[in-house]
Amino acid sequence: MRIHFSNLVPSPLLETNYGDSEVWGRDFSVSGTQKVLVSAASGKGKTTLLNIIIGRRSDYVGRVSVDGHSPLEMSGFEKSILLSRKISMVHQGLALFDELSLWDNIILKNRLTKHRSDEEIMQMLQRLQLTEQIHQKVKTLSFGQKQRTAIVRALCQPFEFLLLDEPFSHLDDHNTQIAWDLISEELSTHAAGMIITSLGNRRTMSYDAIYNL
Amino acid sequence: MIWKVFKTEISRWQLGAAFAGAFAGMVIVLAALGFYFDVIGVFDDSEGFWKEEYIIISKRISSSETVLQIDNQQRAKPTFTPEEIDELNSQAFVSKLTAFSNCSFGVAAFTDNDSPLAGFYTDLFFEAVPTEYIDVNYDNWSWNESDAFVPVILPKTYLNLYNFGFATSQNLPQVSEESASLVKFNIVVHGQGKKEKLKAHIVGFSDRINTLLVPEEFIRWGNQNFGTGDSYRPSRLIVVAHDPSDAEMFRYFEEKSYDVNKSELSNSKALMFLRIIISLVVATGLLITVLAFWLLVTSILLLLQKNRENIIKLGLLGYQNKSIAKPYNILSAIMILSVVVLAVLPLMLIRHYYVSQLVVLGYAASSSWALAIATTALGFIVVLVVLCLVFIRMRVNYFLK
Repeated sequence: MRIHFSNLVPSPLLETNYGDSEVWGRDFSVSGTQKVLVSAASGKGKTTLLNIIIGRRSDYVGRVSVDGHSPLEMSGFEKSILLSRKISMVHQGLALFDELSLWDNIILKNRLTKHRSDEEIMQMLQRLQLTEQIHQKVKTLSFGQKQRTAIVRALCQPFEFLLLDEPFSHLDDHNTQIAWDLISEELSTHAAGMIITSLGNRRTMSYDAIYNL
Repeated sequence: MIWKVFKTEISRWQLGAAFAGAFAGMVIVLAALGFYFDVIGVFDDSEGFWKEEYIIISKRISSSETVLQIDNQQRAKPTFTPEEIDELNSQAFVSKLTAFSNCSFGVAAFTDNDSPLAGFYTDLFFEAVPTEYIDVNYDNWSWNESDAFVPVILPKTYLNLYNFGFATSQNLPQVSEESASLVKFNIVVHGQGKKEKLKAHIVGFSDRINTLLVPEEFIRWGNQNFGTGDSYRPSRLIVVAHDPSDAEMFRYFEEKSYDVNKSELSNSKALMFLRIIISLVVATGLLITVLAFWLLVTSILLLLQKNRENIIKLGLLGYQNKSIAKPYNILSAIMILSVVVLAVLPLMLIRHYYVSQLVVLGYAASSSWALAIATTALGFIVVLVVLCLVFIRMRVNYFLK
């Protein structure tokens, strides 16, 4: 998969000074198995970047293409294929269902994609120390536990690209390392690429490229 | 599985209220429609009081007129001239106008010697009006020479006179309308030096037309073969008015000294009131029904609205719009189906009540009621379900665009 921005600037940022950005207003592309970190302070558009890729934001100038197609020109069906088979995303707000249990949240994704067996899911949950909470309603979990849940859920589908929006913000170093290992393994299994946004650079991870927004 | 997500935002009370509202609406609509089907027969009934009122006018006979006629037997009787008829026809209050046809030939009636009324003989007269004015349900109101008998309609007042006057005082059996139609007698028509004997049957009694009625064809035949060729000038006219209570109209008649059958007209005012009331009731019923169904649709849309965030999240997971809409579609379909099916019970109760009332009034209920109601109910189900499907799909698409 190839994700390409061409002179893209989100409308809210048009009035600001984005001249120093390595992404906005530039020719930016990520493809294949590249692991890319997009780093920026708050408000520079990290979440917007990812939302533009999946077609959730349309207020920008410039062009975006995902494998040659603009995400805004996708039909409803193509969009659902994109989100269930091509791109998997961990949102900053997590987009979990608070009233459902942890297990049901993951199954909701897995039923759609039929990507994992129950055992595989349990193994991932075990690695991330979530097995005791599987029947708890998500709204009773800590944010860190929710984040780990969202990560496991994101891995319950095939993907060519993984988009992660500040996924480890509430995890301690130990869990962050475990999550990162899990993700790395999945990336090589799927021969997929990744864009991860963060407030800063975590020492323990290696990237093919780092961009400052 | 998706349903599990939506269930968290459902208010049972909300749905229950919507269901109750739609249920009430459905019962009202089906009951009103069913009532219409049952009662439409009344409207079509020639004998029913719904039919337009006619006003029968004749020229007033003054005392001086009587004297003049006695004095001169050849004096022309007061009849309506063609000019008078045309002038009346051109009046704004007249909707239709027709004249009674009368006989220019002689007629007498008599019974056979073996009849229960043996030895009866009288001179008679007949008149005719166009079939559309006949207020008796008799299918074959026509006549031609090959017919076995001449059908005759007598005024209802004659039957009443017999039953409550003559029969009671002479200790004779009273006669019902139906059995009166078994009375057969003979008539002889004469004129132009010829005579002919025919059979006649009483086939009904008229509430409105106070004369001895026979089909127009018979009078025409009689006039041609035994009379002077055509009817005399009509001495009576039937006027159908746009508004039977029109004061203008009565003033015109008074001016022209036309007599009017006033006593039969009291029904028309009641009729007008009844029509107004029924229209109001139907309009109110329709309004209630529309509101009830609007409530149902709004409740479903509210459910969707409450689940907006969930719908968006499901979209982010990769669920298609149609999969997300499906639980709502199923919910709507179930609700609409059960509303219509459950409405049948109170509907039958309501029908049972008014059918017994109708029977007392002498009307039979419609036999095609069940079919008509089933078709309507099915139509409602289809229309409502389609509407809901469309609204739901539109709203889901809107949330997910």
